[in-house]
Amino acid sequence: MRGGLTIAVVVLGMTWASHGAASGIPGSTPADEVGDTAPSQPTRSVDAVGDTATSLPEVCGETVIRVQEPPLSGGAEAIPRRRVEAAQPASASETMALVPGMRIVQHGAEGKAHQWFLRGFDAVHGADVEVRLGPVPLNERGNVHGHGYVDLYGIVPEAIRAIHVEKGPFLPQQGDFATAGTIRIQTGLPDALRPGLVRLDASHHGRVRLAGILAPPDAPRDAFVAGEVVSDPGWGPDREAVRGAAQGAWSWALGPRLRLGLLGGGQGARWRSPGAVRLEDYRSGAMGFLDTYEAGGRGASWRALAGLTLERDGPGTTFEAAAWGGVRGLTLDDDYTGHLVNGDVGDLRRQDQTAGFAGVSATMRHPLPLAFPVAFLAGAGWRFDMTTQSERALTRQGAPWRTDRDLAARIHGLHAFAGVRLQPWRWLELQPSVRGDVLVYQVEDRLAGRRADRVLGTVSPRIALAFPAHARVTVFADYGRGFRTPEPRAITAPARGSVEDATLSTYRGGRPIIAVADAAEAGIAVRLPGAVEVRATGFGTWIDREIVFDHVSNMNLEQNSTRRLGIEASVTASPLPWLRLHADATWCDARFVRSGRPVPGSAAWSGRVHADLGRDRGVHGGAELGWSGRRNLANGASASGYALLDLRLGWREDRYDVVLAVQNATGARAMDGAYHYASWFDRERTRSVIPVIHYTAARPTTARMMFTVFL
Amino acid sequence: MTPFERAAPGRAPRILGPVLVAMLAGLHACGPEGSEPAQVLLPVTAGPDGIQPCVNNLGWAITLTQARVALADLEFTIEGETHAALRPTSPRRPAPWRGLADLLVPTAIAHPGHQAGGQVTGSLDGAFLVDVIDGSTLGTATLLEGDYHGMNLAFRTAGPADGLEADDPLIGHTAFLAGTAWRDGIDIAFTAVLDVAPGTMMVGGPFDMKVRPGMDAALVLTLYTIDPSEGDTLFDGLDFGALDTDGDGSIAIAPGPPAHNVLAKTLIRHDHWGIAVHQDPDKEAP
Repeated sequence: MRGGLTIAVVVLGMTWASHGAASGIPGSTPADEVGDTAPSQPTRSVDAVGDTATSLPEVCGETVIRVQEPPLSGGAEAIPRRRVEAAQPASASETMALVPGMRIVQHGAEGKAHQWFLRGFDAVHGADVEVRLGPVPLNERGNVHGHGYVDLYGIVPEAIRAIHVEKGPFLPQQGDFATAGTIRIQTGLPDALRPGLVRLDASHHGRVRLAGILAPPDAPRDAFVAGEVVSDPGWGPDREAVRGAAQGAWSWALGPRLRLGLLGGGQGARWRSPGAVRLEDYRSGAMGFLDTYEAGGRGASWRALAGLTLERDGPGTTFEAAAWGGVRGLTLDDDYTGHLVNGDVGDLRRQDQTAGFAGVSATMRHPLPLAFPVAFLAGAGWRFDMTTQSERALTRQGAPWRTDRDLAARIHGLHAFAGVRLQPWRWLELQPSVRGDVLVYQVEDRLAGRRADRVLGTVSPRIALAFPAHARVTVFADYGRGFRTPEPRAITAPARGSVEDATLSTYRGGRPIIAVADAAEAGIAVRLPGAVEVRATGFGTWIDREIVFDHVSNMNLEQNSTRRLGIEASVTASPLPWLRLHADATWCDARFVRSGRPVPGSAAWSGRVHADLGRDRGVHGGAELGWSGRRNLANGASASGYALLDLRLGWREDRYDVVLAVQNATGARAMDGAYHYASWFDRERTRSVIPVIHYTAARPTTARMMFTVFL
Repeated sequence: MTPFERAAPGRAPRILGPVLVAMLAGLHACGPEGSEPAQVLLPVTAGPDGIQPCVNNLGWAITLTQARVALADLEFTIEGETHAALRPTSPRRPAPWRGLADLLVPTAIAHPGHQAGGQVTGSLDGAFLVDVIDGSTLGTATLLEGDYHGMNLAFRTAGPADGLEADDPLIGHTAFLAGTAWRDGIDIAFTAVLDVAPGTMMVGGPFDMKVRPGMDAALVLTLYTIDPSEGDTLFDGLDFGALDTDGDGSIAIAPGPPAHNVLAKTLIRHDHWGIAVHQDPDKEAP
């Protein structure tokens, strides 16, 4: 074994991964390595929280062998590479649909971030889900289109090694936006796929995607270079997209247990956006299901980032330090309301942003010499975001005629946390922790001629408990406080009560407060013979001051207290060497406490069933059924649910793989996104400000042929 | 053999095929559908509910005898889930403890327009020439079921299309007011022709009503000469005596001088507009 490790190793399952040094996140459930195999028989060991727990992982073919440190929260999961490959995502952004309980919506086109729904949260474009690429936080503080915006188009799907999910805010390293949970994307290429692959993906709608990833067999475990280019005429009008991304990583040994890593990437995209269609226009036959109002929606984005990591791994004290920085640009033209607001000239608007970001973070884990396994966990970091953003009303010809926002902001964020992970008895493992965050805002509203500074802070206590009652049964109980920072424009908003005779749009950005969410969950994980793992978790989240961003009307509203109660369950099984099954279902009741009304956007039921068939060579195939129940919209409206079936069939040999995939195989006309607001597109009809249901269409039946050459 | 019995080892039961076909057909048939909230139609009129003699901040006692305003596009708003800390305090709600509390922490009395504005879920579109003294019928408003707390309206310019006589002083203007002002034994008759930029919105007039399907109620657009929340009047800031420069006991306020601007700015404030609800208690929502 590499590194001469003489440790008790286990074959990792899907979720029982260590949180070793490569992640640099003490207490994190899923670690840097997750096997590409189906769940096996993980075992728990006292050693897992001892010195050996941080030993280097080893990659053997598609199976990762390493010491594991069991998860402490019921909502922790890891999505292995094999699952990502089987889903054949068109982009890294689409991989978020694999997160159990997550529903994603594309109301733009490829290149624009998806809208996310998780655990009863309408996370919009990332406002309630923290996302990290390794140590680099991807949520954009102060994005012009939505606070916490996450753009995953800079990640090449072939480079995703695993997606680690921590639902709820129960671990100390979970920071800003982790009110519903945290997703950490781990990149790399397993040994079995080295030195790499090239993939051509073409759809019958004309979309072509070329992707590749390279990692020499003798290169470091985390080394790779990957890229992709996409040209898509769109499966419907106004959905064209052209984009590309490149990313890479490398590391060097500075000593027997010390590694210096470098990561970087760049991306660019241009697209057109179809906007939303009034449901009544489709149902009356005035519009086809995929039609658009040709309202002029389009967008462009680019980003470049680079980072350095320093890891000390192995027995004893471990740590990871990271530094990163980058630049970012985003331009969005959209019109969701036609002529409702501005009459003849129309409601087309342009949001424009240029931003820079940088940060450093460090985490450490230090075993304490006590009678039972105890490790001290600590971390600290600084993050800096600077942004200039504007919003302008445009004529149909694209000429700006009114400026609605012109803002410059600098945001410093400092955090520190400390905790202990201890196992006083074999049947109890716990991790109490506390995290503190301080935010310093410096905002200049150039339109209003105002400057404002503000310092905000919050303390987040958390505790995660695991009861390994049996070798095959673990019970979880967790509590934690998550938070979401305010967007910069809230800092310069007029003081409460100082403005009269203005609509709520005056208060865009809400009040400059940190929204906190108290969450608790209790769950059980059972591993059965036959590589079957069953998980069930009940969860609840309570928010005193809900802040809901309606990006259609571009308002950010501070709202009443909400509570979310739900249950999620999943079953993963590999009953035969050639069969892998996964099913998950989530029920969540999200309501405002005072009125009892449902939180808009939330669907009570959602789920996914996935079957992956085949061995490593020869014929293989699969089916995936994703569904969502009826969705609650604003003002008491609701939209029907949907179910989408994807199928694939392929043949794989040593050097190539051919896959035919059919997405939305039944041709279901599903409303991907559904909203309730007023619009006025057909000017031959009487203008009305009364809200009605609008939808964005889900992808129609799409046949894709994917040809992969293994180098 | 029942459909659920196996025909032979290794073969799928007969029911499996039809079930799969039915499932796939069901997925295909799942068309987009939606459920809209119930719409409630309520008549809207304008009436003199809010017209009462008042004394402005300069001591003039004013009686309004004519008040016609050119308006457009009424909107009705719900506060939705606006956080309680931001919600306006109802000035009409009895609160015996408020006196003491206000001594300790003064409370800003607010209309919806102070902080809310709300979400528009009801409307009465069109152009209206409203006579708030003699009354006018505006039409039938459409409101989604909900708890309403505010209303908005737009000002416009009156014209011949409003059915005005050619010599009507309101033509080409937004509002025409007439009345008398009295102070210290001096009576002054006044008229005011006011101009407001077309499209100017009044946002946040009070309109408290739970709208439910099947209810029977009438909405009355009201101009308040006395702000029901804060007690200020429509004519605050006007010194009628000073305006009567020729001492003939009558004045005509027209666009241009400061007095016009003072009155016009007050007219478009949410403090002086609202919706009164006329509802038969026996015919409340089921």
